[in-house]
This record gives sequence, C-alpha cells and structure tokens, in this order.
Amino acid sequence: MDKKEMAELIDIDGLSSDVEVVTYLNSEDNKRQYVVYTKDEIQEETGNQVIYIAKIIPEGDVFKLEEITDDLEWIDVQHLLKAIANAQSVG
Amino acid sequence: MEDIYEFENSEYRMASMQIKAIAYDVVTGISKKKIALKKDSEDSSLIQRLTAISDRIIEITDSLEEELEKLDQIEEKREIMIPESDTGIQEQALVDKKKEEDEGSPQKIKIDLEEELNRKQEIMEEKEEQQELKLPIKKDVESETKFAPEEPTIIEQNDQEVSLPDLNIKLADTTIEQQEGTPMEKTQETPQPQQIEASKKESTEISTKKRFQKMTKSLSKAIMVKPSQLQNLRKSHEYQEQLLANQGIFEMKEASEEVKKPIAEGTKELPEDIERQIEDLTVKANIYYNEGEVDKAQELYDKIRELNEQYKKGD
Repeated sequence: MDKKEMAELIDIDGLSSDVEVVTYLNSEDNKRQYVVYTKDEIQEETGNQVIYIAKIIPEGDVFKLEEITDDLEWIDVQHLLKAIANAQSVG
Repeated sequence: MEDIYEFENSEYRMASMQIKAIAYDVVTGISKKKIALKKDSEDSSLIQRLTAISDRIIEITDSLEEELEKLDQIEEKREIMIPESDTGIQEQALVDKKKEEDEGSPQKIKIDLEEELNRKQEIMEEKEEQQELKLPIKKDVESETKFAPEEPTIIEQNDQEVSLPDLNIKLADTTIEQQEGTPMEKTQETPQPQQIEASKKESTEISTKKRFQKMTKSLSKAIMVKPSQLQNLRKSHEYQEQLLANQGIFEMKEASEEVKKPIAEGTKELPEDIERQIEDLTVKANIYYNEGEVDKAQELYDKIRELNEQYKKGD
C-alpha cells in the first residue's frame, strides 16, 4: 500500500483544498525546493494524471508556494522530475 | 500535442521510429510488387533489383538510426558534462540551448501559440456562455476563471514543450476541459475535498498535514505523467522529503527512521537496447511475412518471444 501524504492547499482568496503531495524536489545547488502535488485529475482513456509543481518558501507553520515563472528554472525542475519519473533503479 | 505521452523518448528516438515506419511501408510496397512479379513469372532480374533496393533501404534506415542514436548520446553527454556546482556555467549552457531551439523554429512556436490561444479563447467563451445560462449565482468562480485565457502559463507551457520535447508539458486545465468536458472550476485550483478524500480513503495513511499557501492567483506548472511515472515519483517521496528536511525546510526525522533511496520495483518497461532489438526484429519479421516467407518470419517472432521471456526472468 502506498503511503500518501495529504496537504492543505490554500489559494490566494483563502479557499483551501486537499491535495496529495506526490513528492518533493531539491535543486542541485540546494537553493530551491519544490512540492509536486496532484488533485487526482486522471485522464480516463490512458490513466495518465496531472501533477503540479510549485516552489516552496518556508514561513512559520505555513509553507508559501511560489509559481515557477523563470524558464531556466523550469527546465531545471523538469530535469529533476524526469530523472525520478523515468528511473528504473534509483540508488 | 499528439506525442505528449512520449515522456521517455528523446527527440531523435522519435525521428528514428518515424523513419523506420516510413521505410517499413516502402519495403512492404516493394515486397508486394515482388510477389506480383513472381506470380506473373516475369523477368527475375527485375525481382533481384527490387530486392537490392529493398535491402538498401533497410541498410540506410539502420545506419541512419545509429547516427540518430549517436546524436542522442552526444546530447545526453553534453548535459552530464555540465558541472553540478557551477550553476553559472550551467545556466549559460541552458540559455544557449534554449536560444538555439528558439532560433531553430521561431515561426512554428508562434503559430502553435496563436493556435493554442485561439482555441483556448473559443473554449472559454463557450464556457462563459454556459455558465451565464446555467450558473448565474456563481459569480466568484466566474471571475476566477475569466483570467485564464490571458494566463501567462499557457505561453510558458507551450514554449517549454518546444524546448524539451521528451517531457509531457501540458496545461492541466486545457487537458481536463477538452477531454472530459468538465466545468472550468474543476481545472482551476478550487477545492474538491470530497472527491479527493473519497478516492484516497482505501490506501491512504494520512500523516500530519502540511499547509501550503499560494502566493499568486496563477496556476502552478503542470505536467501529465503516466501511472508508472507517478508511481516512481511517489516512491521517491520519503527520500526527497528527507532531503528537504536536511535543508531545514521540514523538521528532521528521528535517526532511527533513516530513509533509504528508493529502488523502483517491478518496472515493466524493457531496457532500451532490448526494446530496439525487438522493434527491428518485428519489422523484419513483418517484411518476411508479407513476402510469404512464413518460416523466416516465425523464426524471428520466436526470437522476439524469447527476448521478452528472458527479460522477464531477469527481472
């Protein structure tokens, strides 16, 4: 059985929803950290699923989420994601 | 957008497969002509010439495939060569790479973006009309959805799709909207607690909930992943969380709970070299079969089965 981590996602208007934290990412230079989460949006035909990625800015009990707007940063994040998602054996 | 699920395939790998498919069609056509000539008992020299052409096509396709593979390897090496610690150089390399890609097909990107935006705009207009008719009270949702067509992430997503073809970058709201025809609020980051909870009750062991506060109204970056890829990402969860704890983002776990790097279990996908071998054998077997040489085709099919079984045992 998978151990899933649920988290509360609060949007800018204060509305909160539950999301599943799929994993986290740590940039190669250890300067940026990201959360990868899903809202269970599954494509029926293929079973493929949408995952979201945002940058974590820790602040007290709440972790602020900043969207990735820089293209280079996004490319880095994709490399991190790809390495994990396509890994046959990690370690 | 058609090949968004080719997550693990590289650009040249895709090209190689397409070339192979075309070559296969041509060779199959030649085979049919050969069979027709044999039936008519016509000049055998013509048949021989056709055979030579057919062989040559296969030969060229194989060598082209090798060249494309080399190109792939060069690109991979180039990425690995960038030192991890030297972020300045790394970023410069990425800038150069992106610049190259952008310069390579600027028109295509522009057209794709325009098409995507137009399509998105049309869908949004339809949605708005429907919402006005059916849900006049939901003003708050409506106002939230209205910004979507101008959402900068649409452009960014498209842009990235061009720059990294082996990744499945897709704007989540577009996907869900188009494929399932669900209301817009589902694709926005609005709450669906009941749905999510229901789907997870069976296998979920909920730990202390973290709270994430979004700082902007924009959508998070989204990617469509295969179930196996999602599984790999989930497996890495504990290890990655520990990495973040080491960075002081989260609380450290107790020493006894040392997390090991996960090993992806039961990956059903064949190794790339075996997969290619099977592809080649399948193409050749099909050619033999079309030429009426059933025995040879069967021999190759047996070999394919053998390779598959061999891999499964090894797994």
